[in-house]
Amino acid sequence: MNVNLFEKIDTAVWKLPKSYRKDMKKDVHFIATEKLLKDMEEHVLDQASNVASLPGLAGPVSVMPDAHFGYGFPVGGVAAFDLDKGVISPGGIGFDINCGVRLLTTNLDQSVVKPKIKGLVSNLFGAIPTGIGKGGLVRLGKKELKEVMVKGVLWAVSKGMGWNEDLKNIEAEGRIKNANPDHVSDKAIKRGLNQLGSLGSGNHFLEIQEVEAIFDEYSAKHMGIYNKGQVVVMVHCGSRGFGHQIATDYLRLFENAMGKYNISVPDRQLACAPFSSPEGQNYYSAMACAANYAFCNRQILTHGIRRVFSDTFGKSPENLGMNLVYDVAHNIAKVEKYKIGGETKKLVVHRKGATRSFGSGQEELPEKYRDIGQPVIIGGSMETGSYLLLGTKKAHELTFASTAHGSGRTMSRAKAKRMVRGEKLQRKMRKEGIYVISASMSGLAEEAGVAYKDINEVVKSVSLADISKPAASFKPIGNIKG
Amino acid sequence: MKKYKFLEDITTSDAAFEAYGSSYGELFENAGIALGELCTHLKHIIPKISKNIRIEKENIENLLFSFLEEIIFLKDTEMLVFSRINCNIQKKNGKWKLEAVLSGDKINPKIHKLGTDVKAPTKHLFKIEKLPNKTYRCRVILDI
Repeated sequence: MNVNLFEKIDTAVWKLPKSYRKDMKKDVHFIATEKLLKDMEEHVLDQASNVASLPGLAGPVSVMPDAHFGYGFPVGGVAAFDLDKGVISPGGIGFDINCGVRLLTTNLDQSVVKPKIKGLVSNLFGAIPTGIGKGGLVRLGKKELKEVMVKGVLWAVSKGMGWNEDLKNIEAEGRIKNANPDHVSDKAIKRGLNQLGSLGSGNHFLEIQEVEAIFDEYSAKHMGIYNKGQVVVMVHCGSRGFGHQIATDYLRLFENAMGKYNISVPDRQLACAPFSSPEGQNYYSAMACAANYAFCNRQILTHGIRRVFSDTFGKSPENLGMNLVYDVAHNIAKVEKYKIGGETKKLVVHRKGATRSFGSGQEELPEKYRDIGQPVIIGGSMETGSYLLLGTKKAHELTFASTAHGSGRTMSRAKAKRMVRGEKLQRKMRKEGIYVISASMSGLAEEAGVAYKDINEVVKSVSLADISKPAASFKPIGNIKG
Repeated sequence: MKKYKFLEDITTSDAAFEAYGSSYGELFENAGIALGELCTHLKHIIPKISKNIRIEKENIENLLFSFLEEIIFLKDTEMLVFSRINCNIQKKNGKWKLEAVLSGDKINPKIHKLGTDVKAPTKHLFKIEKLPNKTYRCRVILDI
């Protein structure tokens, strides 16, 4: 990327002015160190400029340091729209609606877990459906699936697959309230019936990690992170084929509907409709169904994980301290309040490959986090590590309370598969103390660390820009993938 | 003639291929096989379960798009991948009609080498073109 196109407006904040292209209605803010900005693919600039041309934007579009090319919006793109004048765009949420991540603690030290890591990872691989061709832990009828769409995590907890206290430690308490199953196609329903409680494949993972460093002891303790060497579990997955079908259905619908609203877009993957239109509202309510399915999916996997840990270590999950730190979506649209021109307004914030990053004082946060801010989880590649951070008040001003979600790919899957042999990578990782089992060796090769950006540089970017602050870092010791 | 090839430099996080054919029917067959090959090594899939599908669309691009969607739908709902595909495509009364027989088997992680779980075709850089030598080529990026 040509850095000279940008004006540096703050540390790790670069402005691409709307004058860059005549159809742009707002500026674009890139959050990145200079190194990450220079290395970012040119396509991200084009895609972000396309997003900045959409009608009804309430402020600058934001691009996160882990950004890369996506469909419509770049992955790592954030845009907020006025509810009356703005649009909703499935490309701004992503095919995998509510792909997201959650973090669980344990009170186990790595010295107790590492001697049992092979058995633990094998047991998890046996218990948690991963990869293609595997149905979920839960098989649903249509009526039950509709309940999941509306109730999200509450459905899982009511069936004994979660603790009541899990609910408040999930974005939107695991249940976005405007979900309406009437706006979900039969095709999507059929795809969703047998996939609930499954991990999927690609960059989805279930990773056992140890705490490597604690940067903010006070906040880390509030989140249940006490010591270096403490073992935690991170789960990354989304709404499976169910969410993908909803995204496909509405992209098709919006492509055909845009003419009705005199909207034209520079990229058909940015197909959109006015948020307030029947089409816009129908998609938003279907998106909520997919989001609730994904929250429920991660909850059911948590139930499975707790059982495996309990069987492996001979104690109940409660006695193992397997508490949910937080669960965040990183492909979603949410209606949230922001100050625009001195007035508080509700906006529809699109986060695609971006995480909400609420600062302290936000009412939606559970009480124990209200004075420290929202936990933010940024997952690295399976060979590096991940971070736990906190949202900040600055994020509200700069990026509509958004931050990065991962380390971002730099290499295509096809190229990674050509360069890396899955079996060789698995052996290398085991030598380095990371015991990984994957349903697909080619899938494992695609996820090699060499295919990703440097997570430390991504976290440095968000920290310098003050849109989230690191609280702790983790390094992987075990992993299952699809 | 090559049936398909996977593209390396066109997408970062997903999968992309080009497929070829001397007719639209052959093009669609090879596109379907390319999609299947991403999911698993099709040489190990015995074509013992067959599905007949019929699709009608206003243009050939939407017909291919819907065809690939249907293959993904059958993978997710019936765990099927297809190693043999026969497509008959005709244009009648201004509409494009596809009749296809897809033959394959249920994916069994115990015996089949698993690849990628393909989730959806996308319209990004999606293209069907007729080449100067009167053969056909398509380009598809798939979300995985």
